[in-house]
Amino acid sequence: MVADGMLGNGHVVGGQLGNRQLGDGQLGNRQLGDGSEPAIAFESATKHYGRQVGIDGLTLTVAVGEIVGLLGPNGAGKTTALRMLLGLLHPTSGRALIEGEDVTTAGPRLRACVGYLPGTLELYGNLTGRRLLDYFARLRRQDCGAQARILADRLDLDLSRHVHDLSRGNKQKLGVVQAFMHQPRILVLDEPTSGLDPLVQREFEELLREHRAAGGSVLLSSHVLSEVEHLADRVAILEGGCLLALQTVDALRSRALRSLELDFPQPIDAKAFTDIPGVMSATANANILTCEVIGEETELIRRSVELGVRSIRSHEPTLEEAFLALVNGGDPNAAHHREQVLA
Amino acid sequence: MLLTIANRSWRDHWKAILAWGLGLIGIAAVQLSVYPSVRDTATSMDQFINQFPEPLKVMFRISDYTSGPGYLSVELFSLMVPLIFIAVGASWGASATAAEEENGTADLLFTLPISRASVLTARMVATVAVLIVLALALTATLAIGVQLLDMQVATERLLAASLTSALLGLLFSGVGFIIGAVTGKKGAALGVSIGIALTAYLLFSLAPLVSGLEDALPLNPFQWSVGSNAISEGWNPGYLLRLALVALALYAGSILALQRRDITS
Repeated sequence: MVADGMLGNGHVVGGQLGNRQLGDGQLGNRQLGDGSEPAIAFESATKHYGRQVGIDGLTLTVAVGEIVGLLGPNGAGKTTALRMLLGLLHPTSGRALIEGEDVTTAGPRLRACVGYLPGTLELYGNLTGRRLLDYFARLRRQDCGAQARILADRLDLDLSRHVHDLSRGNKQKLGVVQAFMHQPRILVLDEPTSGLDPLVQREFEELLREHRAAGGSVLLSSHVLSEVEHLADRVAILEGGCLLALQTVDALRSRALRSLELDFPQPIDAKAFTDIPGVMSATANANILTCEVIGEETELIRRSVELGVRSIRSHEPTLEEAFLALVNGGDPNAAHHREQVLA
Repeated sequence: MLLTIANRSWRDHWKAILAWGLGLIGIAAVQLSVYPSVRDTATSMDQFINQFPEPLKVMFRISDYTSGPGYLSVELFSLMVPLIFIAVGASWGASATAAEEENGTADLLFTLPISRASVLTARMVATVAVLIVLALALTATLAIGVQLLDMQVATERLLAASLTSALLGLLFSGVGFIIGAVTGKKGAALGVSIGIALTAYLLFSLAPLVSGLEDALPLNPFQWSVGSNAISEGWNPGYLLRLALVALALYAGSILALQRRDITS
């Protein structure tokens, strides 16, 4: 279950990781092989706002045809990274690259192949959806009308209404349409599903899959793991401006501390389970055994079955728990602190 | 593409443009309508003005009040009209990019495949056009009034005076552009522009009375515009060139400043 090799070694501690190119080596080689540049690359990208750190030594690539999710609590540096990629922010040091070109030195035409959805979306309120999209299309010097109509239909968005009359969800839909309408090769999306109802979210995810299937790349941010877990090929976790981990969703999950509740027909002794690899803690309360597990559960399940287990309930790890596992190696005392930070 | 952005600015602000235009026309019309009674009482009016304390006459540059050009100069082109052009220019300059940064639309505008310089240039084109249109509207109004009231002022002089005033507005739009580009704050840009304008006006007004200030007059933009007394003396190419060059330099500076800056979110 653990995808070995994605991460060089077990737990990674914040701060050091910025310079370590996790999984990057593999990707780089593959790209050298077929001679193409990664769609997106950050090379030790650093942004300081005075004394505050936006991002610190971020190194990350998004391959052509890949969806990478940028996860982290508020203030982790996700938006800073994405805005730097679009050239809105100049890096303090390091570089951000699109298709191999430095975004600060390349001309504005570099952004022609990028669709961007800002985290705090503000649109011209006095325009109708159609006029707004037409304005952007003209500035892109690209005829996007047909594509915009298709997207609006799929997202069930009325383009004849004024932006200031739109609900938050509908405004977000308009934001999605303007990001996709020129059929960009690269999508940079900051919390794209915020405000979208579940039905529209599903359609949006479908759009992303189609985009990937057509060879497009995506870098999207979120603070909810569940939002990106079934979409992203890889997940990058940011905290305090540093890259904590870059791995597949499965690998991330398996690294997190999960809580298992096992129900036996007879009172059970927790000691029978504490020696199993991966079991961090086990407490018994009459027939119920509660275990905290990292990694594979095979041995735990095998032994429970021997003891006649009736049911197993598993709590899927949340992003917070994934963080915990990464930062503290599952130290439960740190959990409360972490939750407070995340709250 | 420049025109697409400029066109958007005009459409977004057509009500304000119309209001300023009507304001200018209205003020001109009111002042023109009073002129016949001034002329009819020219002799007593001249006596009355002669009783004004000398500093006041010097400060407001009142001479020859009852003649057509003299009247228009005092009532319109020495303060009211320049102030309106400054207000228009400074507000267009201040909101050129800072307004979009403040309301958050800059995040999308500046991630389109167009340079920040192009966006600024388009907004400058829009500002210049608005000032020219307002100057032409004023010229037209005055030309009609002058004709009707037989004020003996050539239309070309009216045009010269209007455009010379508009150029002062252009200069202060440049101040708005550059402060807006440096700070990203519309309020700051507008405040600084108006503040500088009022200070410059004060220095210009007091210059004839205070010897030290007189030496600084050649550096004062009000001297280049109001001081050229275009309605009586016509175009002053030297002064016009100074106004235009300073405006251009401020525009160029604002482009440099915005390119170096992070866009506020």
